[in-house]
Amino acid sequence: MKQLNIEALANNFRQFIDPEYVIIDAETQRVYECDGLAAYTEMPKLVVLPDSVEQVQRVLKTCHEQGIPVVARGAGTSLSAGATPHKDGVVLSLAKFKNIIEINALARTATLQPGVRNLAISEAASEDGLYYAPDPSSQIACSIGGNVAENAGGVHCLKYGLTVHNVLKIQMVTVEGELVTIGSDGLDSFGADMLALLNGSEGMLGVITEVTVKLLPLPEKAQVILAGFDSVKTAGDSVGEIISEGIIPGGLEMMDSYAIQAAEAFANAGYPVDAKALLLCEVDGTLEEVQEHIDQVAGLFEKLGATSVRISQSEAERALFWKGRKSAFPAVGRLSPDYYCMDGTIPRGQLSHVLTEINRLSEVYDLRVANVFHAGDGNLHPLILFDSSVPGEFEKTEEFGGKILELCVEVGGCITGEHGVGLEKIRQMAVQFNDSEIAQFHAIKAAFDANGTLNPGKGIPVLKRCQEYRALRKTPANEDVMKEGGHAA
Amino acid sequence: MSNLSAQFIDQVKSCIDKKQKIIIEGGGTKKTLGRNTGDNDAHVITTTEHTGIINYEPVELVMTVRAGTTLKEIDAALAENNQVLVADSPRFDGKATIGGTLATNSSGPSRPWWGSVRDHVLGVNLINGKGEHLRFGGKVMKNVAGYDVSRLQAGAMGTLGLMTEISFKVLPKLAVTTTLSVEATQADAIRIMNELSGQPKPLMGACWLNNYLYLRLSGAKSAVEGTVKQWQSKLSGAKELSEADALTFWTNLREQSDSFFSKRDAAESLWRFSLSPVAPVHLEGEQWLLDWAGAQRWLKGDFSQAELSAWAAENGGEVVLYQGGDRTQEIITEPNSVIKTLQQNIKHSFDPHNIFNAGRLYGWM
Repeated sequence: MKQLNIEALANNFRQFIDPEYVIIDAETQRVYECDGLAAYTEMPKLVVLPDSVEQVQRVLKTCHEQGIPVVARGAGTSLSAGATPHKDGVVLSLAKFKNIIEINALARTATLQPGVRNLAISEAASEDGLYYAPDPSSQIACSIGGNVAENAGGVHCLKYGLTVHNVLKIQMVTVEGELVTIGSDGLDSFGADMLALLNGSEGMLGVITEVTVKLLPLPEKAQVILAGFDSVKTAGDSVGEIISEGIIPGGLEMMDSYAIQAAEAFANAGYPVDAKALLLCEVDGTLEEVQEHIDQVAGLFEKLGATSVRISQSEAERALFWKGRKSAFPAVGRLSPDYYCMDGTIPRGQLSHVLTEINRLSEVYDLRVANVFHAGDGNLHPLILFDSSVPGEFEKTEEFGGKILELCVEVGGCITGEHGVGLEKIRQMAVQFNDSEIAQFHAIKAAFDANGTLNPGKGIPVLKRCQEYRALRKTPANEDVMKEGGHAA
Repeated sequence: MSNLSAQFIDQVKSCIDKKQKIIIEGGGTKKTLGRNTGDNDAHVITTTEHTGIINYEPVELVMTVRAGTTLKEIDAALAENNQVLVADSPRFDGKATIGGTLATNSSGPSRPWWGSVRDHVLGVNLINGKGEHLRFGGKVMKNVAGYDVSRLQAGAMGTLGLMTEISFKVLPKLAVTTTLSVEATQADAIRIMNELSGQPKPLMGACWLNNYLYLRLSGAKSAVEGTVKQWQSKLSGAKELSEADALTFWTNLREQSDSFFSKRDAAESLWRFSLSPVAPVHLEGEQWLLDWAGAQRWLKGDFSQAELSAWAAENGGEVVLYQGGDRTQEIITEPNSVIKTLQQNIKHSFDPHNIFNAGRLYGWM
């Protein structure tokens, strides 16, 4: 890449973007140096905040012509360093695209600019008795463009799916600056499903400038059962039992004792602090259905030996039960100067084994771990507590985290359920995928971005690094696809 | 029931060497879909012997099967655990395979509420156009590592490779099902289907045919019974179908064996619209069937593709010449040049020698 003339580029952008929003001074740029995973920082050459699609197109066209890397950025809440700037590139912030373009109540859709906050969609739709289902923990802050880029999840995925299940259509600017629409107002489109490919593509295939999502009718009623257990295994088995009864809960969350204590100290939600595991099971639907299922689930928990069972008796109490879970990350954060949130997914049946192994590793690395688990869909969030002021402790934490992800792959799961690969998990991609698979990902990337200037260095590792990583860790690649049924033993 | 993956790889590699095209075939139930490529020299790879359930964990709600496994075999295994394949896809006399179902993203009447086969696929193994056997996705419900190659296969009609193994999510069978039917004009039906879809009720089918609106309710017993009472009082003249009649109706709709489909001359054009469910009535008086609460519409007869496409586009969607008509021509209007290039690039990234099902989707790919 030739030496970038920042002043010239800035002047170019200032011709069509409000000069105040073409940022080249380090002080103003500082807020863009990282995303929600603050351990990874990088200063870009330039930050630009366009306010029209045409401006986005011109920024991309200009950068494409000059071979300049572009990192699109929404609210910056990514937990995988997916929005970390490129040192030789431009940060393209979509923060000014905050408008809800249309809510069509009859068709049950919302058309949104990418900077609209996740929670704002449901707030706006509530007037019509509708809501947007995916609800990542960061929903107060995170924006829909980023949700699509990361295929964001939340606590209701088992029943309502991830972002990919709730998006109908996106408008996207290609790396060359061309505006295209992918998907439709219908439920599916002819040909290979490009919309699915774009969901979770981490800003590497295009820049999203508009999103149309599905809205669902607000359930008549939702109620939560809070149950304590004296072992993680019993709690895990209870999840299987609920599903075997034919009930698909709206939300089904588990926390281990460390997380319970932290959340209770933070939220005073009435959690059983002496329990080894806690389950939060939300049942939603019609009034009659919720009553039927709540009775069934409560009976089941008691039969299986829950040490305590409480049923929310009001909306306020339901919100309180959830408050503990939704504030689990910051609550655990109060126990330690820093914490590092992992994001593997495992088959649910492997939970006891995986938690036992995490506890063993916790002793090996001498780092405490609190576990928060989307029990319904198998998505595990171990929170490793550490102190970044202690030299070498972050590196030790990262290594520990990497081991957890590899463990997830080993038991038939994956390295990321909803946070994305970004910079953070790029090394572990070499454990989940072999070289031919990684090469196929690169080929897909090249189909959209032949020069590789959209969010370079994220998501998909270069092959040389994969081989080095495997050699270093003596981890074999999963070459044996002929062995049927996936990676698990 | 055996694993033919190794033979498939050999066949693909041999075709690459010989520069011979490959046609992928499962149960042969979707031969009339897609374009007629007229390619008689292609090598046919048949997946019907590549069958079997590899892994099924009822408590995990996940099943992994070889791509040639029929939905019938899958249904039987799931039924033992009171679970179902979610997409409600046509079984086509028990011959439809999971591979073909995913490749055509074939969904039945419950699709708007329960999702499509695309929504429920979790992972695929496929042989790409270099003869490499690759594994994407997995067996867990949340997985965002790498691009979503599994769902990309939905609708690709085998143009990106030969799928060998597919993992998907399954769900518990819904406890109770009831169907209401009421006489309605098409315009009223569109309004009612969309209004009811906006209510938090266990709706699982909404179809308009021959001036009747059909509403299927499925779920917990209490929820279904409560809703039937409420809706019967709102929809004057709404009657509950007998269990047998309801089953016949929805099965015929799913199997495309209702007389709307079966009383069609093979050459007569059958158009499939996927568009906004609130799109207004068009070409009133023509032979229409509305499904998916209005988001999927079928039309029989000879019409100008350009005119139908323009109307579909105005209503946020598209139209495909689903069956019949001249299938050597394009069956959907050409996308804009940028999308066309992206489609070609994606195809090339999987199949650089353009050997898999060439021309099946578009004449230009």
